[in-house]
Amino acid sequence: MEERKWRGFNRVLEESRRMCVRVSEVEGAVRPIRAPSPSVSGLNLSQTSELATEQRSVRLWRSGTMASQRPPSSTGRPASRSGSVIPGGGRPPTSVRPPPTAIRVPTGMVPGTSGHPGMRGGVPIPGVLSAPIKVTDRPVTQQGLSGMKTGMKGPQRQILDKSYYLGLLRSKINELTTETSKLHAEIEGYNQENSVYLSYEKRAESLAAEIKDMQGELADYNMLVDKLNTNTEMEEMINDYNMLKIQNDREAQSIDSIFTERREREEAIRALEEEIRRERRVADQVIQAMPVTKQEQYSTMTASNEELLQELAVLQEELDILGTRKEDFEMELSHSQIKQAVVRLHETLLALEAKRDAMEAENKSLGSPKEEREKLFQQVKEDNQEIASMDRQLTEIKARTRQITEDIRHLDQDSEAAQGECQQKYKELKRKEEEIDRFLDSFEESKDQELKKLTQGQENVVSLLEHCSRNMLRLRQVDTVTANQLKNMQEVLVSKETEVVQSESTARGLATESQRLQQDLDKVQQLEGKISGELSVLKETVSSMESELLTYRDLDALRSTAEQKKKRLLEDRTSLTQCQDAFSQLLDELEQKHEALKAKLQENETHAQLANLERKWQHLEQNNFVMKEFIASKSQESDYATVAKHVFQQVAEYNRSLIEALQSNRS
Amino acid sequence: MIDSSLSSLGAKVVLTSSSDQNHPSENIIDGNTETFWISTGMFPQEFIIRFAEPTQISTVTMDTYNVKHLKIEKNTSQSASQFEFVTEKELDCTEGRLQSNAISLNGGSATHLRFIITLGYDHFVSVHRVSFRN
Repeated sequence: MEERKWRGFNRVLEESRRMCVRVSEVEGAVRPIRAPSPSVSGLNLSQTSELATEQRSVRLWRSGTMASQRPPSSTGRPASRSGSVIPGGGRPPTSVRPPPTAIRVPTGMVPGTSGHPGMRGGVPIPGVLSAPIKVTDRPVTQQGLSGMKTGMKGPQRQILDKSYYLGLLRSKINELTTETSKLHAEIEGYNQENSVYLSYEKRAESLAAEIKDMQGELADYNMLVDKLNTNTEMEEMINDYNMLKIQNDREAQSIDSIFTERREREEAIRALEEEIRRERRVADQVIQAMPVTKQEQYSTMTASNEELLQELAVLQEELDILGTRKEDFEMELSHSQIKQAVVRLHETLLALEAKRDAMEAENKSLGSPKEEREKLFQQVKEDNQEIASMDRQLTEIKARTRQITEDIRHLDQDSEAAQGECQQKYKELKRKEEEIDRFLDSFEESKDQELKKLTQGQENVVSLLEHCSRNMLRLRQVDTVTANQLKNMQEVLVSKETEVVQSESTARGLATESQRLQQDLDKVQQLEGKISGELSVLKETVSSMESELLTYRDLDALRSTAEQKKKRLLEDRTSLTQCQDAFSQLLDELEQKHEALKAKLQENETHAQLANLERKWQHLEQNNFVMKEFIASKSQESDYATVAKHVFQQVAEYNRSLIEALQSNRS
Repeated sequence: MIDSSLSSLGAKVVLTSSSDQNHPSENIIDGNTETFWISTGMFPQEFIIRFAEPTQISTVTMDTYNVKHLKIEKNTSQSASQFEFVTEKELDCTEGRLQSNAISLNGGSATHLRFIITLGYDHFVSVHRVSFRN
């Protein structure tokens, strides 16, 4: 579609261009002869250019033609004058050059031309530059400047008579006819194209349907490819297919059922409609059968019914409207807090008004204050009496309850006493038995305890008796003591007591000191042990030193022993040197002998032979050894005995097993 | 006729082919048969006795043990060299007691006497005493 549009646009553009060309031709025909007619060929050349520039050029050209519609006399004028036609047109002198030389017209840069409305830079100057020099007509810059058309074709006809104009007109008419024919042909072509387009559209539709089918097929194939790629098994595929088929069948069935249902419904509707019609007819018949008055009544009633129905409809509508309005209002109310508050206040107001009304009614019902007072007094009295009677009743009830509870307790006690005499006896007996048992168990211990107590008591008694006797003695003394003496004694006692306390404290101190001293003693004893050990050691050392002293005191002896030792050592030395000498001499001698023998040996031929032979022997022995080793290794390598043995054994076993099998088969 | 310990005469054992700390070579010439010099294995073994001055020796008496073959050499020079063969003797094997042999040296004086034990009855031989007679 896009393309088609574009093509259509192109076509329109082309047409417009052609129209322009024609107009220009016509204008050119009207123009004076000397005026340089706008060259059609130049335009034709420009047809190859781009569309946008073409359009612009067309505009420019038009403006150019407009300018060139001036009288011919002005066209022939020099450029400088014609330039004055343009108000404020201070053209640069370069643009005034004659066209042949004006290879490049500075179209876009003419200063001062901006004052022309609808004129672009490089407006063709009427006269010399009346030829429509367009931007697109400029020489192809890439291939030099040779493409420029000057529009001036040498000397033209000088005599312009009737025949000339006739010829001119004819030629123009011819051109017009050719043009019209061309246009007709084009129109025909367009028509054809249109029809073709319709046919194409149809075909496109059919092709679109085909494409849809193809796409469906493609989707199927894609799915198949997917399945192949994902290695889905045939069974799964079949399962899917079956499922899909079942689904499709089900849907088709449902569609069928829906269709049938729909038909049934339609039939039912039709039947109902028929029934209604029948009923109406019956009703009409009935009405017709009725008397005239009734008929009139019926008609009026029906009319009123209809009216009422209409009214009902109207009212219903109103109700609906009101409902909607109410909803709107409620919405509004819910949205605005102030209105809600107002509603609440209204509610309270109503409640208060109701209360007020009630109170007013009460007020009306009330009598004078005195009566009221009396009434109240009476009421109070009645209430008091009632309260007193109730109190009395309460006390009575309380007394009764007490009595009843007491009765119950008595009854309980009686019953317990009656029942539990035997049990109590039994319990008592049991308790006694337990006591006896306990007593028996703890008899020995208690006996011991009691004996101990007894002995203690005896001792106590003895000590007390002694004390008593002593005291008796003292008492006898005391009896003799006078009061003064007593006082003295008391003082003495006090002093003694203090002394006792002191002495006790000192005793305590002494005890601690003794302990400390005991510890010290222990330490000292330990030290003593150590010291004694040390002492013994020291004694030993002293004894040894003393003995040593004895030896060392005898310096001469020591010296003598030392000298003896020295002497002995010297003797040893001398003897050893002698020994050394002897050894060396002997060694020399032996060496000499050895050398001599060696020389002798060397001289001996047999020795040499022997040595050679020995060497040879050694060599041979070595070779022998190597060969032996080689042989051993080779023999080891080629020792097939074990393998052979193994093989023979296996063969024998196999034979045996075969024989056994055969025998077993035979048997 | 001197039959005392050689050491007292100024003789010395100047060479022994074996040496044992517990049985030094002095034991040969100390005139005591209880002490001895013992070889440390293998043969031949030898020892050289030097006299303080050339001495006339006619007979050598030796108390030994396990010696089989003995060779005696002598010289008259001050140095222990240039010995000349004197005599040799095969000794009898004695079990449990010392071999006591008197060997005559054919007279002549000597300063060094060399005793070479070329063979023994056992691996080890011992020399208990050597004494000379003029």
